Amino acid sequence: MCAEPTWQGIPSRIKQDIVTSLDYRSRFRLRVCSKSDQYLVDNSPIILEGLKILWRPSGLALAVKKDGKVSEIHDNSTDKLINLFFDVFKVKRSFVKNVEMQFLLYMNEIRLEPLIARIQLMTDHDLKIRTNHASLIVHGLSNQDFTNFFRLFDSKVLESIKFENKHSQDQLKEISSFEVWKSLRQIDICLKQSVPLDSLLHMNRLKYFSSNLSSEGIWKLRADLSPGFGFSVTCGNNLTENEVVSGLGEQFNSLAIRLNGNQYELSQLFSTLAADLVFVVTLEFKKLQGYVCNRRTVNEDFEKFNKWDTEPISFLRSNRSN
Amino acid sequence: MSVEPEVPIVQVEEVRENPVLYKIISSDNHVFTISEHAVKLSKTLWDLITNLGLTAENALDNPIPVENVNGKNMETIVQFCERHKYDEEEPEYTNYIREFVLPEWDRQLLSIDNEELFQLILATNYLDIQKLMDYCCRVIGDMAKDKTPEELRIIYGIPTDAEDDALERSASDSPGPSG
Repeated sequence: MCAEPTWQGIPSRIKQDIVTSLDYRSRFRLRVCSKSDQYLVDNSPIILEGLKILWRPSGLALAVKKDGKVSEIHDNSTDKLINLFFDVFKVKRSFVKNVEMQFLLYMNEIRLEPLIARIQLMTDHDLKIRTNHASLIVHGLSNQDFTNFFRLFDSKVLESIKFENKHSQDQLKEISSFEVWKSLRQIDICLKQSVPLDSLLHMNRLKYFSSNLSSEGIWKLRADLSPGFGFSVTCGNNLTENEVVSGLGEQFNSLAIRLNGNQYELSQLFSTLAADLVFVVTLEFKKLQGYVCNRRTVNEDFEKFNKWDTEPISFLRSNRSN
Repeated sequence: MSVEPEVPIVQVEEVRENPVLYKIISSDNHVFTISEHAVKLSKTLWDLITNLGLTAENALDNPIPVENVNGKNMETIVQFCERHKYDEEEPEYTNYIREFVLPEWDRQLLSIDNEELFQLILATNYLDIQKLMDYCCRVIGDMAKDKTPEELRIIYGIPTDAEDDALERSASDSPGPSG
């Protein structure tokens, strides 16, 4: 063991692990200690719980969550914050559990050019956004730019995505052919747009709009009654109670129930092949929801399911460190 | 009335307290005894034991010399391995994150001065003990919290670029082994 027992003597692989465990501020304070530490920090992966570009009354901000604490970086320069966001993923092993981007139409002063330029740069360098959960509410991006953005997500780690952009049928068909789409387990598509049903069937949680949901479609949707499975579909057509029940499959025993004190047009509990699981279905104002619940905790489970699509953005609710 | 067959009851703890033991000699000739379960936490030592063909019968007669680790570090390492020998297997990295809470016992064990801690890291790296390495990295990372760059330089012993350049210059100016 010839190495010196000092910071300088530790193998760089170990130093990278130490740097990766540092909080954001310590990381940048270490970075200015010396040229070799600058190189070390710039080449050490960044592991974060959350990273979000959001709008504050004072302007655009970048929120960073690590070890349960949220720090916000404020800057008048959109370019700078977008660059900081994408710089996290410059080192290939970097990973952020939840990623969010909110560029809404009312944010007049926001220019999308820097975002489009960084999407292009990431594509050119074959860099990926490694995250489990992504929420992209980016108004004003062209279809092609959104497609390029979507492709940046690493299919090996992305589990769920929420997006709000309006897409043509052709574009949705194109996006749903990407590897990253095929590996998704959850999806939440906010705006009214018809997604081909067959492209969603591999997911175990989905929230989307269907212009014309039929009994056959419902039958396809409910094919996987495994724990955690659920859907929430806003329908363009008027579904009848009979269509829903026949779509769900009459071979299962069903029972009308009252959920959490709410009066739905339809709320039924279906038995499943697993003794401890039931499939709960509700219909209200063209919104059809179904969720596999534990027989003993139906109300609690269904309540949780109602909120699942907001989970990824909940990371900002923890303590702000400053 | 049926008579229950007499089956010897072996308590799990008894089995645990009767381990195969190995002897390790540190670089400064201190001898340590370590149980089989504990030594398995070190990939390097366990590979060595396997390659040397040491068994329960001949283990204590064949001490293993470890030239690269001194007695002080070896004592800490043996304590750590004995403490964690029955831990469940390490969780694999999930999406590059291995989340853990540093137990208080281990934090106390690693409350040593910086030079010793850096020495221990080098020894842990040589002996390839993943859990101890994770814990040491956490302790070293925690030292950096809320520190200014100047404080970090002192804690980690980081020379400034100017000092570093001067060191390099003096090293290149000094005559080599042949000259």
